[in-house]
Amino acid sequence: MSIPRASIIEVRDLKMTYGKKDAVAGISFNVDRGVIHGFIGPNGAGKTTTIRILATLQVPTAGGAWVDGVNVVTEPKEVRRRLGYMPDYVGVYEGLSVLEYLDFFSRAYRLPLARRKSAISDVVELTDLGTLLDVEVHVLSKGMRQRLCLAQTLLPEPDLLILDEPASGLDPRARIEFRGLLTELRRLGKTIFLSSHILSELSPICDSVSIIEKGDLVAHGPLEEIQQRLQGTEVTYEIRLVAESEEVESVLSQIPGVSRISQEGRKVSFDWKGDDSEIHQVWGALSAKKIAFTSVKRHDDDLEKLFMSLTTGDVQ
Amino acid sequence: MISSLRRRPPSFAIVQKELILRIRRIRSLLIQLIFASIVGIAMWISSVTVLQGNVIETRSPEDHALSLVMIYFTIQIIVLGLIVPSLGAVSITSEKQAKTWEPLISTDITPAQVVWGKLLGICGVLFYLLLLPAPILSMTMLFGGVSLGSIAFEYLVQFLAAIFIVSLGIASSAASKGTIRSLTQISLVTVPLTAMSLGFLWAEVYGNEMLLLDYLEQNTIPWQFWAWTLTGYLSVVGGSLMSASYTLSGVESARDVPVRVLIFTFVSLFFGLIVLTLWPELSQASVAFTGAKPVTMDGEFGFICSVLLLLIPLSLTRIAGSETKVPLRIAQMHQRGLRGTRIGLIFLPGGIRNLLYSCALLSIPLLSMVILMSYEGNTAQIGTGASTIVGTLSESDMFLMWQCSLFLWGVAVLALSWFFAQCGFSGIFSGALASGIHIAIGLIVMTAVELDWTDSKVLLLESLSPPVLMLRDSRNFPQISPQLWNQFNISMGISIVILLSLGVLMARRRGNPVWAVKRPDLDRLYVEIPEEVS
Repeated sequence: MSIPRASIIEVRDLKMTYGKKDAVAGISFNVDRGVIHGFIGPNGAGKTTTIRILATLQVPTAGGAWVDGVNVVTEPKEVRRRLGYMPDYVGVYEGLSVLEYLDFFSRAYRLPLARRKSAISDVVELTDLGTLLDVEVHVLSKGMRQRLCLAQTLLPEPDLLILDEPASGLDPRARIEFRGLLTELRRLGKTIFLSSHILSELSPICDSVSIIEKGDLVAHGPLEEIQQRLQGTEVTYEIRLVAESEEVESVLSQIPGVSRISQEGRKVSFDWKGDDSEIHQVWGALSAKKIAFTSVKRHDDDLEKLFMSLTTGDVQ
Repeated sequence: MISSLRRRPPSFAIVQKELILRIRRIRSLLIQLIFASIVGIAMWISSVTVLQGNVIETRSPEDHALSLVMIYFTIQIIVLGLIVPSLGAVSITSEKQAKTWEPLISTDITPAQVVWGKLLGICGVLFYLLLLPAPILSMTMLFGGVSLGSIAFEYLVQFLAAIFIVSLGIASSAASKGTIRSLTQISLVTVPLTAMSLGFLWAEVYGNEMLLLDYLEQNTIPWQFWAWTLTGYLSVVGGSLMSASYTLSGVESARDVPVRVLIFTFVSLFFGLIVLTLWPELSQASVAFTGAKPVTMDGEFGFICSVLLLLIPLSLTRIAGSETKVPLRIAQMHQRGLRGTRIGLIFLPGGIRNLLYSCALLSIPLLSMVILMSYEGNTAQIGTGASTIVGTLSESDMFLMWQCSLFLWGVAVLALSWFFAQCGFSGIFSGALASGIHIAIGLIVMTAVELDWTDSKVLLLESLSPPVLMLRDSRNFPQISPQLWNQFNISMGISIVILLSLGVLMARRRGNPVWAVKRPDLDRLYVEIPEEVS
């Protein structure tokens, strides 16, 4: 019995060349189990190529990639049993009902007869398609089709889901619902590797990201780590006072680590350079001067800012 | 494809899906209604016309039943000719256009199983459609005169024709990007085919007031006809399905191996049948003294065969010049020591095996010609002697010498194509270039001969292109002197050795193994997970 590896995806010096052009130029990264990992990059950065290699639909030129310790090049069939892949645009068989569609794919995945029914009912429950089982697929909205496709990829109970631009073309409500679904899947222990252009969609749910540009990996790791690497430990805080105070600026300026204080009415913002565990000094100083506040907002650099600062915008 | 089928049977998921999608739609119901209505109306009109014309008084009910059955099957053929091609032609393109192809092959289903599933699914629908108006047909049984066996045979032929056209349609669909293109391609084949079939049926069978089974019973059909028909049918159906599966599999898959085995089998079968078919014809040569013009391999007939065989090397250049790299999957299979990859080494693509395989294919027609010649040689001794002496050589010897030279010439053409592939050209380009160069050499030689250059120069030039010298006499093998024959073989032999040496050099320079079944660039792909990232 093989020992489960800590990382479910391992990519080493992965390279894909089309003619003389490197679509993927020797990238290496790991994705830990049970996380939602965002794979971000501009158009033509090499995202889909990497995803297709991981999904065993393409053979790389050099390097290697492993899913759950299984090589995607040498053992593609074994890899396919361990992952569910959803391409950027998923077509559906419009003449089939939702149940027939899922039944077809359960047979295509060669699920044993005894497991087929339970697998279908599990994914239907998870994706909330229970009321639509007899509805023909062509009647479904885009959001529901996306759920159906996700349900289809979940049928063989893969540990890893690879989703290429899953939120594209969805309306805001469907996006929020889809995001909730992904969070639920993470709770169930699935690892989700997804690419997206809509960065605001990724930042609330992603545990870690890889940013790729022109085939090269420009950043990889948990969001906080990347942010710290870029900006040190400086974080902007914004507090809202109960009442306007003239004292607040002088109080804050005396605390070591606080800089760039600005006040607009009841709204005060400042930069904090130091350990997060030391921030209580600020709240303590304000309390000592009886300066009450109703809310505190910590401005991390969000994914969009990170993406803009890390990429040049050049395309291959 | 065959190996994947043996390992596990084709998934019936595809068949089930195809049946649901094709039969449950309202469009499908309409087609069924229209189809049954057309058949019914046509038979009703025929009956009414007969009754109004008082023909019924002059014709027996049995004859009337027969004419109704003929109308029934004629309409079936026409409607099938219109429906069947479209069903096959949209089968794969619809998956690609609806973007369902990738999710499908991301499951456990292989492209070969998809192709099989599509064939079975479409044929299931078609058979249902063909049998749908059967109750109308059964009414004619009341008149008598038509046997159940004859009707069953008509149905069998239609089913086989449907499988034939669907296979072609699937192959066209797999190779095309769009539905319109595949529909156009398949229509170009099926429309003339349907017209020809109907023409034959009404001219030879239905026109003579009989059904197909009666026609076969009344005419003695030689076994060769069945052998050729069966081989041709299986070649087209098997070849179409195989090529569809080939097109849909990735370039790094093991798709070449079954295709190469199948090509080899069918070429062997084809020329084996030629030998078996010509055998009785050639045996008549032994009784040439009766005055009838004998069919002889060393005469006009053998010459025509040889001229046709000249085209074979040109068609094989594509194989000889195919991708020099061993597909990844095959390299892996070989590395794992899979027995099949060691026994059938010549069928594995890549390296010099491309040239050897094409030469093996080339040797099959040569072998069949030699077998026929040897048979004729035996029979000639019994008769007055079909082999006349030309100088010191008999015509049989001359024939064999020509075959030998033509074979060497063929190998030289293939070696040139293989050499271009080692230089990095694509298969089609290498093949076209090699064929083009040899055709150009032939034209130069022909011009030189026509211009009547000095003998020594002509002899030198002629040795570069044996086919040109052979084609100088438009009816028979021209005389060949041992000196010229030697010169042919030496020049062809030298060119083969040079091309092989240069090809090996180029392969080494480009890092491609010549004989070994491995991928040098596979070394750049990691098998084990490296601890350190380079």
